[in-house]
Amino acid sequence: MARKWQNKVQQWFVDHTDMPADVIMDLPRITMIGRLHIYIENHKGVIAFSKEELRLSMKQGQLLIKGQNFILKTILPEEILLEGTIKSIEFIDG
Amino acid sequence: MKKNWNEMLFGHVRVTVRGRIPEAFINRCVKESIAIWDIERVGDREIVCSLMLKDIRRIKPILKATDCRIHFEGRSGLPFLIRRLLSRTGILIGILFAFALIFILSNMVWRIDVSGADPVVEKQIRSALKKMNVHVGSLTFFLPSLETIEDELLGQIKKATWIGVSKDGTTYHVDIVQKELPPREKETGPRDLIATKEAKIRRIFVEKGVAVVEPDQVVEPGQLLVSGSIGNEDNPKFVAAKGKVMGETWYRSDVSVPLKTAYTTMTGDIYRKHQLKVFGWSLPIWGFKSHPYKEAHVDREIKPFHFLFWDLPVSYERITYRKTDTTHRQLTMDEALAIGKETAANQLLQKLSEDARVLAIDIRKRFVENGELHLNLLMTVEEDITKPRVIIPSERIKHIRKEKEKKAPAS
Repeated sequence: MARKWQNKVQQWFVDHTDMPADVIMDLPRITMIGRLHIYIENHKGVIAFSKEELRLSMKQGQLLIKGQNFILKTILPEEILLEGTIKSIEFIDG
Repeated sequence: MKKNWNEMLFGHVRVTVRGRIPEAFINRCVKESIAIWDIERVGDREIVCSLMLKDIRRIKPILKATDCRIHFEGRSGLPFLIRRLLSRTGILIGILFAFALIFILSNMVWRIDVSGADPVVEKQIRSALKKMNVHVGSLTFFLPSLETIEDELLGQIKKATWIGVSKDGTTYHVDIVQKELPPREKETGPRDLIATKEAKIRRIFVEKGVAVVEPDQVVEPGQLLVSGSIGNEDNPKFVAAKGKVMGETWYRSDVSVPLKTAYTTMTGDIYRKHQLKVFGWSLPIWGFKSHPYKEAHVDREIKPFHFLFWDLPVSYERITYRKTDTTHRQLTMDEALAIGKETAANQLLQKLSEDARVLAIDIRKRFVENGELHLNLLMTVEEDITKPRVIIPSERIKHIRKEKEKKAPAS
């Protein structure tokens, strides 16, 4: 109940101020350059990584990226830069 | 990426991590802020990744915790590069040799420019420089300083009024101003020679013209000495009188001589120090005494080192201590008199023409005051007293005719 209340407050904040949503609600920010690079901020760790698939843990649920020839160029506590041919991105509710 | 130069500079390794869940290994590394990049899946239970060399020790516990094994694939970066280079002494010697070569060539004389000299003098300058070892190909730290070269050249080249030596990188410039020899005396119009000052004639040398005075005669300034008109009265001819009339002249002068003098002499003992100056710090190579003599004259010679176009912050310095002795001397009256006479004579002769000489010095007055001997001298000097005066022929002819007319009624 408390969590729901917090979410509502955050949602209200995002709707009524110019503050970016990812900052306030701790959401992932995903930047893509064509289908070559994908840059994800605010992840919570790698669950699975292979040449065709990257599964990241998020605050809520998971993020599944599919494609080919994946290489994790950089990985930092909050950021990930993935290189390869990206085919799809999917949010999986946890 | 911004990390690239970092990777180049610090050593890093490419490793294969083998384990049941390699992702766990990645997550642990990230959590412990161990840099890990370029991760690639190669097999079911294997990933390949890059790690910093300095982090290798820290991953050992992580490997244990995640039940993974590590296998090294490759090493790169500067530390490995250096290690590889060191094992190839040939390359290393080559690099060192190249640097040494550039260093030596940067400190070499490559060109000597001489400007302002005519070909003969230029040749003289070049041969004089060669004697001082300043020639193309010589190393600058063995060469004398610019001032020394200047002085030496000025001493050797008689035709030079001024010589400037400057150094511009590997090139020496010698600028010279040559003495302009006075042009040959042109044929001048008719002239007389007249006296410049009151004097008693001692000797007369006449090249052209007629002497109108005799030895032992006393002349006034402006008096005619050698006449430029020759020939008889009816048919006068005019020439430029030339000659010398040596007359006795008199000068007064006051000099003072300190009776007590302190003077320093070099004993001939020399102590040399050699040192390298690095960023303003002196690094002695040879000679470690700080003050070898109680009294000394100190010469410092600094030779900067160059590398290509840059002045290195390193220079070679040679300090020469020449031992000196200071002695006090009390002059006797006779010595002081002799010194006073000599200085007075020298001072006077500097103002007079070249063939002047002092005949006698008379002491008119002398007294000692404040430790100084004051003298009042009368000097008798023999010198050339002639000065040319232009003749205007037509006026001179008139003058001669007048004289003749004056004489005629008398006779």
